[in-house]
Amino acid sequence: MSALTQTEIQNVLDQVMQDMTKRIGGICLCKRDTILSSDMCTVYTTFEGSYQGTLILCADTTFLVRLARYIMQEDTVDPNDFEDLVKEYFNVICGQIVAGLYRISHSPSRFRIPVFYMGRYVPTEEEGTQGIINYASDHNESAQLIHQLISA
Amino acid sequence: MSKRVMVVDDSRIVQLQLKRILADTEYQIVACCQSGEEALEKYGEIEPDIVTMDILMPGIDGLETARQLLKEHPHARILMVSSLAYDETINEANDVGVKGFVYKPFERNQILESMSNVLRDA
Repeated sequence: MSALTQTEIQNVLDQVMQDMTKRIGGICLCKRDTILSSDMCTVYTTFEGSYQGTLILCADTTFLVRLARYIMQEDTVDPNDFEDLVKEYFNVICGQIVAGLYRISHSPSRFRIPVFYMGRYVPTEEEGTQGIINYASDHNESAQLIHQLISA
Repeated sequence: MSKRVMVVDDSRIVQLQLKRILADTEYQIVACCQSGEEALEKYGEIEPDIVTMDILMPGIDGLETARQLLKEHPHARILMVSSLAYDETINEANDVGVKGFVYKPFERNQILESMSNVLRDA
């Protein structure tokens, strides 16, 4: 068992985010600083175990709608299903993240059920470090992955 | 005769995905439960041939639900369908007595193959 470094965590987050978004939503993301739009949604969760922290995804609503349509293979997505789709997308990402971190640390982590928020929302940072990864999609939509590590 | 399936997952999207996958197959979804508590309550009256079970759900999680379900119904056949895709979770599921494990995101053939294996090995 080994402690996870910030770099290791950041690498796993980035790789999973890009791989799963491509696989689940058919959308290519690349790391790039972008201007966040005012029409965003947020989904977040907290982790416990070897990785203790909060992971927040803020993304353009247009990006998430496109992702939802791809998942459902439909031109329109029921607004009632949209939140559920975004939470499930994030749920899969978080699952792959704990799997990726487990391969490095050999120590398990769990996460809570993701919470959805219409708009941009970043929970108050607790004591610890924060990392941000900015993405632009192949349609120039923005997404931002924020992870707040809680100090042990 | 079709195999009767109980889906236990708090995500309506996953329930819908499984309905689409199992449409026009030998499987028929006879119940969808959004929590472990609901599954424990309904299992006895429905007696499905197979249960697909998420792990991360409100209330008791899927592993604990499986443990309680198998205690009451030792012949229950459970296939875990979860995003928690690492060894420790799979080992824990095996220890509980779960018959199979499919990672999210899943493909159609993974679900069908795993369900077939669970029923064959029972």
